[in-house]
Amino acid sequence: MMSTLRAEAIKLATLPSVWLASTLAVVFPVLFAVTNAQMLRQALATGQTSGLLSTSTANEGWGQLTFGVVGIVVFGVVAISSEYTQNTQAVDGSRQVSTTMAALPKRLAVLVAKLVLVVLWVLVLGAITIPVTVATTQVLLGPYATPLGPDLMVRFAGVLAYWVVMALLSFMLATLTRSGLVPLAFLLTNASMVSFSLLLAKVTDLARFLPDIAAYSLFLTESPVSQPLATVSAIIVLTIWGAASCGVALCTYVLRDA
Amino acid sequence: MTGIWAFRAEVQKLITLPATLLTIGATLIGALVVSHAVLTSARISGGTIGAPLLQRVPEYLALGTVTLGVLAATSEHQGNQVHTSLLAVPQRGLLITTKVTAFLLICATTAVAAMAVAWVAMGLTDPGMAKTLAGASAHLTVAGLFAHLIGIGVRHMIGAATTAITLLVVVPPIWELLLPKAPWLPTLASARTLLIWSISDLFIVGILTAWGVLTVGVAAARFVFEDG
Repeated sequence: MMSTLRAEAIKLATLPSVWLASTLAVVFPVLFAVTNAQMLRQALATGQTSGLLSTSTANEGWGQLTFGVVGIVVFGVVAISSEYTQNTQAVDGSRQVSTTMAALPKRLAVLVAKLVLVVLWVLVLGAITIPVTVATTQVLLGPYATPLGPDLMVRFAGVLAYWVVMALLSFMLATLTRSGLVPLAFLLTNASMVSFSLLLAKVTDLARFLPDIAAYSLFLTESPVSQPLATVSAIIVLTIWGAASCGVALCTYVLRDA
Repeated sequence: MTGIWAFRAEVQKLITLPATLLTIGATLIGALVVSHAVLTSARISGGTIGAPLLQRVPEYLALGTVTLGVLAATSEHQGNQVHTSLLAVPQRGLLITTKVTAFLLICATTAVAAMAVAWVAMGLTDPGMAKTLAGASAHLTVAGLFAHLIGIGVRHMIGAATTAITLLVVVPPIWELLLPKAPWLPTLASARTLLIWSISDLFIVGILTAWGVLTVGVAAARFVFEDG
């Protein structure tokens, strides 16, 4: 198992798109947090708040962390879709998955190794991005910043859980479709302000069981649904989404022809 | 004559690609679901039911035409179909022109059909609805065209999809919120011109044109002058 983990880690770390995705996951939240915090501070200082959606600073920094999902989704997709990409004719036009299966015939071990690495990588990205984004926002807002309360660790863990589940979901969809396009198109759009989950949340409170809306109730003080899930329920919902994603990805990879 | 044959061949290649048909089907079903959700949301919040509501639908449906654009541009590079295409039509300038024209036809048809589905599903009867439908369809088509040109320029499906969706769908709403007076992104410029069916603001028309020249230039240069 250790050699499988090591082999998959090398494959992952030598993919340029993995580093690009990781950069997006770090840069997007920090960039948007800096721009938004500067604008909010200036508006609060001058009293010209008419153009703002909200004058509350309780979610500043935390809200911008949702845009990190753009990088997380790309990472989750390329971690598996790179296996299915066809090589050029110069190297016989085959897919990397054929070589992987020839070298490591135990499919279950390969996919478990990939899933473990995806989760670990996302945890590291979160451990870097969350403190930087939140601390930068606190500094830029200065006296207008909402002090970090005793729920800091719950919010921190909530963002981590959100990112991990979104990575697993994109990984599962890419495994299922053997292509990155569908999960990228759907999940990247859903990570934006043009989110299908947010649109659904305006129509029905059942949207609170969607992974992103459930996660928001862990780290945002305002929810898009009128009856957000309680902390324990949100953790259970996210665990189910994560476990189901892993289960579907494992079954698909192990039981289906490559 | 070669141009007409090449155009027909490109249209046939596109409409016989199962992924293209799936994307078009998903866009039409998406139109039905999104229009219903937008309408229900407006009713719950007590908002006005009218043409502006229909103009909100392309925000979501752009995902369909953008995906179609990337798919049509990069599918030939996934395998080696592009080599066969170049053997059949060695004039690269002609080939890329027919490819883009064939895509425009499919994309515009999808956009019009999707907006028609949304319009019927919403049951709107405001006067001037034809103009709203035309604007929304044009906006969707332009989003798909930009994605297609990005796809031709990037060639790699994941890279093209990430670039196109980020530039055309993810960043614009945030940009508009932070910098409302600077609609420098292609779909923002399109939303302030084509979507509302107005070209009175020449500065924004200029932004849209500049993006068009840039993406056409990069895509054409890469396709015509680079191997593969």
